[in-house]
Amino acid sequence: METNIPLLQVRGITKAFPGVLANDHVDLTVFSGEILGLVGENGAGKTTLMRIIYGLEHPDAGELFWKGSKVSISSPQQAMRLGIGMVHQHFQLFPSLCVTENVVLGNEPVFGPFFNRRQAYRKVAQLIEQFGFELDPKAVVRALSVGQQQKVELLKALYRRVELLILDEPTAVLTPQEVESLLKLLQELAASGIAIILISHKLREVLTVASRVAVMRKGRVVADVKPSDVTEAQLATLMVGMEVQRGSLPQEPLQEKRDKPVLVVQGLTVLNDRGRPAVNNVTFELREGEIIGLAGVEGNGQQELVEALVGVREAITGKILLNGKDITRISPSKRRRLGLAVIPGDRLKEGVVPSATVAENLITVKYRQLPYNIAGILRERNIKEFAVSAIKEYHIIAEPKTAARNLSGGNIQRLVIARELSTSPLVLIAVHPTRGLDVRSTMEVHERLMNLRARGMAILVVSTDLDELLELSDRLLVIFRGTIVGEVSPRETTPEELGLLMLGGTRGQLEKKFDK
Amino acid sequence: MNIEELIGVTLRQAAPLMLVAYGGLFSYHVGVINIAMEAEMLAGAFAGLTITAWTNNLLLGLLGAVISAMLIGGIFAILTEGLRAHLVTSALGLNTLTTALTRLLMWVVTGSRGAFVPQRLLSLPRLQIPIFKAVPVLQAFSGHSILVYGAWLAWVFTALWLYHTRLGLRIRAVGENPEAARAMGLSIKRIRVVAQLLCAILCGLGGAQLSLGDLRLFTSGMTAGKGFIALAAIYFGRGRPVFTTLACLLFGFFDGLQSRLQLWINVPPQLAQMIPFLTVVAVLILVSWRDVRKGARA
Amino acid sequence: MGNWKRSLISECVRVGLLLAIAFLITGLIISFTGENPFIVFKILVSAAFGSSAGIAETLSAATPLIFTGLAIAVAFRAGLFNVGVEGSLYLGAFGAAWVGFTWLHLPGWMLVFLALLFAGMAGGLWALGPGIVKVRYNVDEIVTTLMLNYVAIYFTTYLVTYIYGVPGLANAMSFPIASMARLPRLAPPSQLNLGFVFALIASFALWFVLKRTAFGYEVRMLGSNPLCVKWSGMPDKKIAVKAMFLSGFLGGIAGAVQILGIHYRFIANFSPGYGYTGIAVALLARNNPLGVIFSALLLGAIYNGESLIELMTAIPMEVPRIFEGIIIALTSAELVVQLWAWRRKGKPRESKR
Repeated sequence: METNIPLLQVRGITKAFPGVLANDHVDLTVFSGEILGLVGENGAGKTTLMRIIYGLEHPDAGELFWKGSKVSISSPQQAMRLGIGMVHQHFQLFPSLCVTENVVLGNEPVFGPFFNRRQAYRKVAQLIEQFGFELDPKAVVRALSVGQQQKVELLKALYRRVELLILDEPTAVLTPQEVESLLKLLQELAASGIAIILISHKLREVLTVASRVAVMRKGRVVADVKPSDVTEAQLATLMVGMEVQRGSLPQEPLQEKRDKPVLVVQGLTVLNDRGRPAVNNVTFELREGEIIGLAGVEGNGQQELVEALVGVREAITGKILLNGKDITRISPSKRRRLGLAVIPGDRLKEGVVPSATVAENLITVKYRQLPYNIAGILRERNIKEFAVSAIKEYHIIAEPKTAARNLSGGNIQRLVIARELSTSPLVLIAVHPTRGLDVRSTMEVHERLMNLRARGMAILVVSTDLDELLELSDRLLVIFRGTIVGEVSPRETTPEELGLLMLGGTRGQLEKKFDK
Repeated sequence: MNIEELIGVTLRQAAPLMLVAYGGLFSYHVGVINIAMEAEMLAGAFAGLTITAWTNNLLLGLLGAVISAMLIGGIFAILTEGLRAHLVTSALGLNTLTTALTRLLMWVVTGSRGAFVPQRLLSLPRLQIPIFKAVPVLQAFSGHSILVYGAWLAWVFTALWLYHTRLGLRIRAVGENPEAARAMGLSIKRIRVVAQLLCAILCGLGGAQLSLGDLRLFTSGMTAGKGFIALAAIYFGRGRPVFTTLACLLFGFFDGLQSRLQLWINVPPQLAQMIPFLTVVAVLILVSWRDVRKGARA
Repeated sequence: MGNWKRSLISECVRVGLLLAIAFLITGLIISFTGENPFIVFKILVSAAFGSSAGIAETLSAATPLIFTGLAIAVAFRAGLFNVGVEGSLYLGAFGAAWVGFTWLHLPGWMLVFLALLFAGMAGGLWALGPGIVKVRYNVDEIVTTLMLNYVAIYFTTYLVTYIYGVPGLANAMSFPIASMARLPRLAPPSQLNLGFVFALIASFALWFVLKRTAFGYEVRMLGSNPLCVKWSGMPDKKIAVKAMFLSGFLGGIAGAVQILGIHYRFIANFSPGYGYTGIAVALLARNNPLGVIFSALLLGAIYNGESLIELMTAIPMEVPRIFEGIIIALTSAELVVQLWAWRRKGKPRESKR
């Protein structure tokens, strides 16, 4: 359904942050009733552009036109008043409040100074019924699944009568079944006249539902095409600006069969911050020279499992054996000395000390050892030498004295990898190792992991990126609500089977669970 | 050991703590650790007493207490919201500053050093509750200054406000996830400032109860850590008004016990005076230990 | 190589601006009381630097502040707020006095050494409790250490009133320490004593520890990003507890030096808040051990002039404390400094700590 006047027109929007030009004279048009897919690499400027449209950022230059008249969107309040709603990549929810409170916040029905709870419940229940969401308006958000939480996010926009709905990477945390129902919903909304901007790096999905696809690269819109006119590969090329070969890593089987289990987890149970079991009686083995992928929707116990393996969180029952030695009650520093290494999921918060130098970050695991530390005093020269060689070997674009926070995401990841590998570990746990990295850095990391595998390291990759897991793993474990619900071989499984497992179904189940 | 006396003294000692703690709940729920409550309380105690003595008008005195506390709270808000100062250090600085300023002002206004004991002072009216007065033990619940009863009213007021008004909902939302609140169109700064001012109002009243309620004087630093004890009460309750009240009563009890002990048994005053502070530390440790037990985090 | 020079200059600008604003506001408050602020400041300056006796007194006043400043700084670097330095100071002071009046037959240098050791241990152990419960149970260390300050003051007062005190005095004090335990005066008739030299040594020692030792590295990393420290396998809890102990240790020494160098006995309530002033000292110096020397000198100078202001003007001695409060309150207010830096360099500067 196209009308002549575009709903939203973006002209010449420019926005710069220190060191990076996020949006470079962007032009974009959105019509009512269409789904505009917006694709591009990380850092291409998509999220920034959306934040400008939603009033969370102010452009340095350029204009916005809403229904033909010029507007200046200076706050989310204003955006919402115009009829723009946004479902963010990282949910903006209040876990301790209930669904209704989350949805109506900011536009609460009132009774004098009092919050008119009853009316709020009524309105939200109506909305839930209208879209068939199957949510309890009084349910506390903290207790909801990720898919349900996303529905709450959607409700926020729908409660306010959106005309333009922006979704930023909505399917990143959903199972294939949930993705399907979401896409169907989007098509229904579009059919009813709502304009939708869908940001996603799942090109297949975008091509399925979008009526138009815009490609952003390095802050500019480089293409605006119809899905019928392009293939996935062509889109990827436009995104990166060069030929991208995906899935081209050498998958040679190992020369010798290595069967020796290096990391054994037995009956591990770990509590989360609220005292409830996040990891429930988990058992698995990691062998020499193999990569095990741990798949699962985020928030099903992966973080707590990794924390227990590393020693940051205490397990209440079960055993962890490293090379036969029981490390369940051993401190993190001793575990590392025994051969455990980890690339944490959050680079900046868990991986490095941002205000410290590259050299200081590199020796956090080694500073007690001999060449760097004599009788408690640090040997600067040896540390610097080590830093220089690590920088060279891992292609980190920095100097030993550079502060870690000044490095790009890819370089920080290289720094973390350099540090972790410097202890020649037996086991490496990699948590979303390529999240937020551009295509080149991603490939680099994947290559390195495959090399380590070939040389006999046991690697556990925890990720929500199914493509990554399918590419790297020899075996794939699926975790759901803290339990390993299935083990599959990446070459034999299908996305549907994986999705089912991630949602909690058992292998071999014929009927698929759907959310309406 | 007189139960009535103990009850009475507990209620009296707990009242200023309660008022300050309820104010602190607003701050707690909006996500700001307010260590400046001590300063706000002290300002209220000083202004309340001084203005009452000067104008012979209690209402003006209470108003003065509230306004002076709000002044401190306002400065705190400007520092932390406007100038992005660190919560703890700016609060600590305000505490030092307020202690010194009240001493200075006390000298300037009244010529006294160290303590100001006005000759003829209107004190807060006492409320006699006939029902209670008749019954032996319950007698202890009657006859207190109005702010003591006001403290209990403040409990209701605070709980109502936080959990049943629109502003209360917004305050809790901003405290839980400021980014999400901003995305929903709320002004984080404005809500935080409002919460801080509400906190200051109650802290001012708490200070007024301290100086005007029973003691009827002002001494330098007379809050003696009560602002922090109120903070501990909030932590004890994890922000729930009911438990906060309980903790205040507990601390009030030990505070009262300490002075009675000196009378009843021959306990050296210094040792007795240590009790309330040790109680707070013990309670904090217990509460946190219980939390950790539940969470089992390494 | 001009990098550290540039940051030194920007630090000086920042401190200078902070001091200027503090003086301004303090001056305004003074004028509100009817006195002329310039006269007050003149008195301060002449008292502090006007004569060699004045300078000596300034150095003497700075001595405890250097120690407490270092104590607070080391805790801050580890990410901890040890407001309990005052309590450690009292316990350390008493510990030193106890050694001083109990073991009267030891040679002087040994007495001094033991007194300092006892004082440090007492102060360190006092800070250990809050440190341990903080790392194990996440008990907020500000409230616990603050509460324990009161406990320490009352407890030492009790000790000196009922057990170790000279009977019959209005303000309780202990028996005098052995004359051999006294720290020699460096510039009589001022109170400047060897303690000042100890303070300088401590400052350099802490600087070295933080910069060049493994423990110092651990402390710095912990203070910057405790989460990463945990994930890297560094013993975060042990580091934090050690840092608290060290902080209390230095606080205890601060008290000891006052007893051994000036009072020669433990006097109840003798500290006018050295532990709290240490906060201003540390913040002004941005937690840099060497910088602490200078900020301690500044605050020492101001407190030195305190009694003179009292004498020569009509206002009571609150001026230094007002100044101190403003410094502490404003020290982290970045906006003004940011504006300045922005105007000079043309783009906003991101400063965190």
